[in-house]
Amino acid sequence: MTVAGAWPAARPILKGFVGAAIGFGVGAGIAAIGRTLAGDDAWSLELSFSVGYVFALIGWLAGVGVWERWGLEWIGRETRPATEGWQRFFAFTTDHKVIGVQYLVTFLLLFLVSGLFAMLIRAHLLEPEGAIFGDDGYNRVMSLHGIIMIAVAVAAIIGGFGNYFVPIMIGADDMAFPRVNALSFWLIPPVAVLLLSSQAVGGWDSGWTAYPPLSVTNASGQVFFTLAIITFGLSSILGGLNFLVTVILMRAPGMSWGRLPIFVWAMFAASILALTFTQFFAAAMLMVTLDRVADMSFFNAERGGAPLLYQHVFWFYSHPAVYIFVLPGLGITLEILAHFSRKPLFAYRWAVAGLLGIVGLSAVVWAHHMFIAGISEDLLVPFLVTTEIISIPTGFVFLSALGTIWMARLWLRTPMLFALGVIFNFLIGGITGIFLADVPTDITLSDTYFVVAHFHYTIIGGEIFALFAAIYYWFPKMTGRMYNETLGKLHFWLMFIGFNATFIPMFWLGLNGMNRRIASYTPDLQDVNVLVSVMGFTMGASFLIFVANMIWAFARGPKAADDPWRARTLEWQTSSPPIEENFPSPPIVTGGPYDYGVPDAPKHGVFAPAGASDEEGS
Amino acid sequence: MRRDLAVVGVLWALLTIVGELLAVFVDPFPLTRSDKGEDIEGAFLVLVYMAVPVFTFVIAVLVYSVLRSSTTEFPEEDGPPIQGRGAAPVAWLAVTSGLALMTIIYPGIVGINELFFDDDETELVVEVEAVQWAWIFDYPEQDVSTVNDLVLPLDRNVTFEITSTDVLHSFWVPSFLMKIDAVPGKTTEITLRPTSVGSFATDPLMRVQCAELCGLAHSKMTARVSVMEADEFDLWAAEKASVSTSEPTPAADSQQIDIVGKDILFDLDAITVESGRQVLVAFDNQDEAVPHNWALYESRDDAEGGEEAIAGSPIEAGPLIQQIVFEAPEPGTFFFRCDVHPTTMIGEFTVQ
Repeated sequence: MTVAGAWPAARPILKGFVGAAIGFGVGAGIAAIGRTLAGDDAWSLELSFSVGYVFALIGWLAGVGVWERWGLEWIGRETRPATEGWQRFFAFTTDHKVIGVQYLVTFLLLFLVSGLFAMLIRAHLLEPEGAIFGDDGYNRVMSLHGIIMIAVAVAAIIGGFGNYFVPIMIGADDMAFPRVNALSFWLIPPVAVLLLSSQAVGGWDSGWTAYPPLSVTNASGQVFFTLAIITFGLSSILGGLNFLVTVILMRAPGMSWGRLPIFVWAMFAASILALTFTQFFAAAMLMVTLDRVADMSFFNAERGGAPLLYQHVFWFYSHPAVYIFVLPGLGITLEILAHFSRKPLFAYRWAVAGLLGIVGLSAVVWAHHMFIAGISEDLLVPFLVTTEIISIPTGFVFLSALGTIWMARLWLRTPMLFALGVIFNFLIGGITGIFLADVPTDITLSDTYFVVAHFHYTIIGGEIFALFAAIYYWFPKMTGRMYNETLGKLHFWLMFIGFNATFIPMFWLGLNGMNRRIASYTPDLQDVNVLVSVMGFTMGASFLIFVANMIWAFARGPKAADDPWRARTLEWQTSSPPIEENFPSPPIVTGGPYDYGVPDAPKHGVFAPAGASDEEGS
Repeated sequence: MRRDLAVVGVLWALLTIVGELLAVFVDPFPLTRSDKGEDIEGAFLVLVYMAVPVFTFVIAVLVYSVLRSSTTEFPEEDGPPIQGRGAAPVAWLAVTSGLALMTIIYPGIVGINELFFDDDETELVVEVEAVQWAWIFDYPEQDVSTVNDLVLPLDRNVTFEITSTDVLHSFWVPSFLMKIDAVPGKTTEITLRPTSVGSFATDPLMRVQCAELCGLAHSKMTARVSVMEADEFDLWAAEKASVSTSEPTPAADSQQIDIVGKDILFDLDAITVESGRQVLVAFDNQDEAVPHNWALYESRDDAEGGEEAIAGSPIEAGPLIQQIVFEAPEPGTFFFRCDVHPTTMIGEFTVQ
């Protein structure tokens, strides 16, 4: 990485900024003309910014590479060649592995930044009156922590490992729509910039849920939030579409649906959700934006609007969204459990049925977030019933996990520790979910720290632990180097103990009168809050070990073998890291992915000799 | 395999016994002080009893599997190729479906009927208006109105009719365990019966706490709750009702103070008057549709501790002008505020 190489690396992003600036000028100009004609001031922060942003986004995408690598074709000209070398990680690149790394690094950075916000929140709550922020500062940091972590939860595994490994695991050489894939990623930087820069115009204090009327009347940072979410949603929808088409059409010969690795199934299930439901989130955000800049009064009760309407539209996406977070995490967990137990994945078909059953039921449970919102009392029973029923397909995942480790000789490497951790954590997340699904108990528990503890158990416990399992599991494949096992285990134990000791006491806090999203609390709860904060800092410290391990391993780690885990799935049958086409010759799938110990089981994948693939097909 | 099953079974049974004993003897709830709250606490405990064996089952299998055989070296031999295609998944489906059905029926549907579809006759109506960031309580039958002070009689069914004038709020009394959102443009209702005497002074859970994020001072949007014997409550209500009707007339030589309330702020943060003369505070509330008042207290601590105001006006939405007439107290430093906005609309009142 020389200084000479820095210019080609910075070029696409600088061009993107120039495009964004030009676009913003055009958009704000259009808004100014419109307002002047209507007899208003030319500039109005929220309207001018919103219209300016739409054009700035187009300009950014065009500048960063959409035009040079794609758009030139539309006018019948040659597109520019792809960037080579390490600079490709900073460019509009169609290689799914590069895009996977771009996603993963971006979202790990956001995870650490937002984790820092969590540390600030816990430092503030060391004292009942609050130790750091004023009320407004607290509400803003809490909101920022919430939405950035939601974005991490949506895209870290799907964008990172989904992009990198789904094509390899199904034996394809890329995603179905490589350029759409690059577009999905380059929509992400504007989201991060908007969310962080919103603080310059007052931020927003309505949490990640942004319920109106508050989100219609608060500071202008709220508009940055809604625009960011609409952009992020677009990225998510394009990604979902791409994964579905890839899995349906790009599987290698012999890769029947019954031979798909469970992680690919989980990605498939999550992609159905992302493609189907994300537009409802965007619609909710659009309505808030229009209420603010165009006075549409969707949510203004005095003028015929309905505040509750927002919650229905919002949760119609945002409940399925929790399965967008968690399903890929559960997929990785089952994947690792099978390989490190060296046994077939127990009740594979039931696990798949569980994943798909969750997809189906997730569409009809949203109002369980609204049991105390003032909805009709006749809606309580139906949504209670559907919500309780979703525990049945979720149970299949536990069946599969427990059956897989049963009677096995468990290989306790770092990925396996994290996968076992997921079972424990997600069990607590799932069981406490029953208390929130059951209307009578939810009445007192909703909007308290019980809920805070519950969703951190499902999202950190079920997904972020799986994310780290995946990082350790696939690190040797992606980098060709091995991480340090001792540091990996230290990271696990510190994170596992810190996590549980942070969030278990929060259940108690919720039962004892601490509601969520508060900058101050009653003094009787201070002792437990101090405990929670100290344990939270412990958990935070574990990530320093992780970062040190990753940096060391990336620079100096010992060379990793192609298949250090001796796993059967296709990604381990190619070089570490894989070549650009993924495999030297196209794979043919001849057996199941997890047939460890099955007598005379055929290999999962074999490779036709180079050049012979054409004959295979005929 | 038979032996393994037996060991796990014993482990599961032991963990379950320990867990159930803990569930019976460790009560996670502090004192519950309403009839509905007791139903909810009962439902919570039933779910805990049901959750314990599920939790311990998974833990037993997990712990046993790790203890039975694990290694940090690569295991040369593969495990037994159990595929899970037999009866186990079917049995699992049957058991989990049964558990889900149980929680749906009880505490689920049964509990909903207890909490929402009972026919308890309302004996007291309290209209609750949530504003950023205060609670205004109206007792229409008693002709009493209070701010951030909810007084209730023991053992009477109280119906709260709740609404909001600005953003979403949520009406939650932790020790009653009941909660419902305050939504602009509609009225939500809960009915409950307080079952024990107590007050915020001794039990921090005896407070109305806004539970739905409502902006700046959300965490401080609380009201003191006290539950008293029914006859005591009637006395309190009668006294409150009589106070709010008597109004002294201003004398000709009173010292007039003009103070404006606008954008949820006073234009003065300090007022000085002379002792021994009558004071006339003319409070001009210019905030449209926002309720304010002006009230004088011995000290800020007194005000926040729920002591009576020395003088003050009723809470009314602007725009309007209120007059507060009172005899200036002995020289000293006092505290004034708007009871609806006790964090932002405050000031010092000096008597010379």
